[in-house]
Amino acid sequence: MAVRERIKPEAGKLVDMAWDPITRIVGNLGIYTKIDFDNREVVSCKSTSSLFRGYSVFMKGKDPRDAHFITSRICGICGDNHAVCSCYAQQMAYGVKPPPLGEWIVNLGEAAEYIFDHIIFQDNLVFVDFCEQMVKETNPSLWSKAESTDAPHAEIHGYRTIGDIMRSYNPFTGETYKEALLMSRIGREMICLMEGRHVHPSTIYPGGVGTVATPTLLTDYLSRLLRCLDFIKKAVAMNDDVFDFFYEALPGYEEVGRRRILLGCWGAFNNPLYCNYKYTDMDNWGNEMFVTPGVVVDGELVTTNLVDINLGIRIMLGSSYYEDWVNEETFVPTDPLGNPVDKRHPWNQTTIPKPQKRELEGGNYSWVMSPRWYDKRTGDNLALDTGGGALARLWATALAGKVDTPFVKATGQSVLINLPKTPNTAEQTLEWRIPQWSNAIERDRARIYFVAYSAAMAMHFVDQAFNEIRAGRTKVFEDFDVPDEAIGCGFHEAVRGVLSHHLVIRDGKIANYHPYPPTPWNGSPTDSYGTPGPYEDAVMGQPIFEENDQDNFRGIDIMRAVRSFDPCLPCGVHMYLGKGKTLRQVHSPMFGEHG
Amino acid sequence: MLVIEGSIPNEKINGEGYWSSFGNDEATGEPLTLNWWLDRLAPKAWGVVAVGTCATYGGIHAMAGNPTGCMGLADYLGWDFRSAGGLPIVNIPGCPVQPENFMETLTWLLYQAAGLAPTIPLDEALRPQWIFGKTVHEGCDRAGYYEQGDFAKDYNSPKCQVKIGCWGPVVNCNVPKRGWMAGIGGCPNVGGICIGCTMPGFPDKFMPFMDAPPGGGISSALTGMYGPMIRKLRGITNKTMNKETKWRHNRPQLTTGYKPRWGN
Repeated sequence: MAVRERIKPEAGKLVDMAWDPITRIVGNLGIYTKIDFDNREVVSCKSTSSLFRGYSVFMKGKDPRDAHFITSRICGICGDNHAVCSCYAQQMAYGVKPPPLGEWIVNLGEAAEYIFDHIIFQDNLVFVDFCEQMVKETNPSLWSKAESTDAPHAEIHGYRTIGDIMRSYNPFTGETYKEALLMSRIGREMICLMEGRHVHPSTIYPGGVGTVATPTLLTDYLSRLLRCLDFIKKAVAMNDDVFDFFYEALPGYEEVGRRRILLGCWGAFNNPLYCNYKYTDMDNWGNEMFVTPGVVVDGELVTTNLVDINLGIRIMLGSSYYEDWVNEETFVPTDPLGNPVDKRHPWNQTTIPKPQKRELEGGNYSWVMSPRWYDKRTGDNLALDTGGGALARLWATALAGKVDTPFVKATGQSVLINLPKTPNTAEQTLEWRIPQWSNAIERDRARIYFVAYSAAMAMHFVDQAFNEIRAGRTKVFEDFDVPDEAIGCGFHEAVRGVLSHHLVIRDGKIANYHPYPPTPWNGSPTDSYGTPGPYEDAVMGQPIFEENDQDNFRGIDIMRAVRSFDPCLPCGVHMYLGKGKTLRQVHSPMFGEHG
Repeated sequence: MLVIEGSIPNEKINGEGYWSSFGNDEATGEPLTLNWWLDRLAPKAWGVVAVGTCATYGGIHAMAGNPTGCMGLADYLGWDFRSAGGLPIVNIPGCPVQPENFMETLTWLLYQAAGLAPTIPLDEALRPQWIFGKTVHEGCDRAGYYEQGDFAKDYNSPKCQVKIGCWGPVVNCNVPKRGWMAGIGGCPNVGGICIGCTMPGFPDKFMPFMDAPPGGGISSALTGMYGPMIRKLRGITNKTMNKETKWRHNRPQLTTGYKPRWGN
């Protein structure tokens, strides 16, 4: 739900417009803008989060083996990503490597998470912004064009015109909307097979899994995966058709949500043949992950080394409700390779909440801090974004050119994805090519391609897991002892982007623990150097294509920009005017009929 | 019907700010806290439902050492709270809530509101009785191993997990019976220890999760004494039952006990 309020003309023609809350970002997201309606441009944008729970505070002193159970509860959508990332960090701290089958099972669970979560977000939430009902209301002339434009991939998905595709995405009634709901349900069943439960797994442990690994487990997973693949093949073609139509029909639409190419990906799917969880080997095994970690700046791949990525992380304040920790303890002065670790690094962070009034003009306005990445080439603290997760993953993987499996291959400029023949559809090879821009449309397009990527990788993981089981190597868990003193870090990709967990153990207890999920990166406020967060600078300066005037303004272009980052699950948008007069319910898939 | 998800922070100890807000006050532009909304919505609702362990009892964010002083809905509104429809708060705990448990309870309440169902039966912790009346262990397909004193020593084993952290024997929850969704997944039934996530004492009273519950030692030691004998006897019977009856053969006689009259 988002609420538009306080429309009051300021000096000149600037109008304050706010959407708060846009659910649901770690609970609560608000976007505050100033819009110049005469020039049809957003002049300023602030992103706020209004929720604090204090994981880093209350985890101190707890048993480190509880960390994945606890941190899973950070998120009600991607809790399993947290549990897995926490186990990665714990495995480094305990010096334990899970048996290969345990690792393949985790990869299968996480692949299903990407499939489920990206599908429900893309087709049941993002596409509501691109469906017939929405486009008719915000851009009537675009809608008439869509109805008369042939869909280039009609032979794959069966919809004759772009308008037909958009109609199939209408909430509750559209064919694709309904099918996507079913697919996301099947995806969750696949997670439950591997990880016991969605969203807080029961069978994931440091050292491996407790999942009962039999051929039945893999058969039950595979039969569901094949059903999803039928849908995915059609969905990619439909997405391409709609997004390409927007570029053609609305010249300049590439500017919506566009920002400098500053992408971070922390890598996903460890390869048990290489991954030993030793920090000192992290560069090596990080480069063997089935999604390559990397930082991409202005189209250039700066690094794929997880050690570099780790050491570059900086947590800034500037607009957040916390006291600084400069005078607090430095837990990790150097990493296990002897490199100095910055005071602003999560290992050395102490979270000191200081609840205070919200000051949008020149003060603090968010519970989210400002994670940045220090580029040692230039000395800049970069406000990396994740491109909603998928864009950064595909971009880094494509440029690195390292992933090479029978189902997915990175070429240096693109990623090739081979999808096998499935019950209702023929074999298909997709190619995701590095786009020209980091903008709303490309974030959205990458998402559906990454669903295909995950499904294809899952085919590979099923093969690998079957090989282990058929060879009699059915061990899934390796026992360990908790050391008195240790440090660990885990790098993973939550569905919507980079995820890291940093752990310090002293006297066998947690002395410090700092998880950094994607949303603090994407939704961060302006930092102490004055650098705005990614939502903020993506919206700032963007043109407005919506045809409605100021009084009927829906903010669809702004919503498309913000949603392209996948701010968790924006369940819907509800807008009303300042005097409490309900303007219109725009869409809320959670609450019955669409208005 | 008011459905609340998430724990309720203590906004009496928030300094100058707020822990959790939702929208703004139109007059002042200041954030409106979750508690502000609750104070206005709860008294008007026909029924008030807390979904998930955070909302029911405080859950993870209410663990020892937390800075926000957060709590469950009944701690905030009062355990004797009655809604406009005359109902106590209805708690559906679980971290997260088992989705079918949630929808089923909500459906009961809607039938009740329409006058088509009697008052929903709740236990002392305000949970629906038919869902939370049995323990995890009572519904767990690994309980047979317990009876035979046959315990998993680590997470590789498909046997009973009480020695490696499972709290199932003393936790009220139906998940091993029902599965996690559409009968798939679950907790100890599929290799995930029960950490007591439906319980008011969660999480602190169950931590550290991966150690054997301290109170379970005596009962599992007792089973450990007679269980192996039961297992041995059952092993003998099982072996017998795995053999076919002896009259199934391809010899030129009928030995089933039937006396044929066709002159064999």
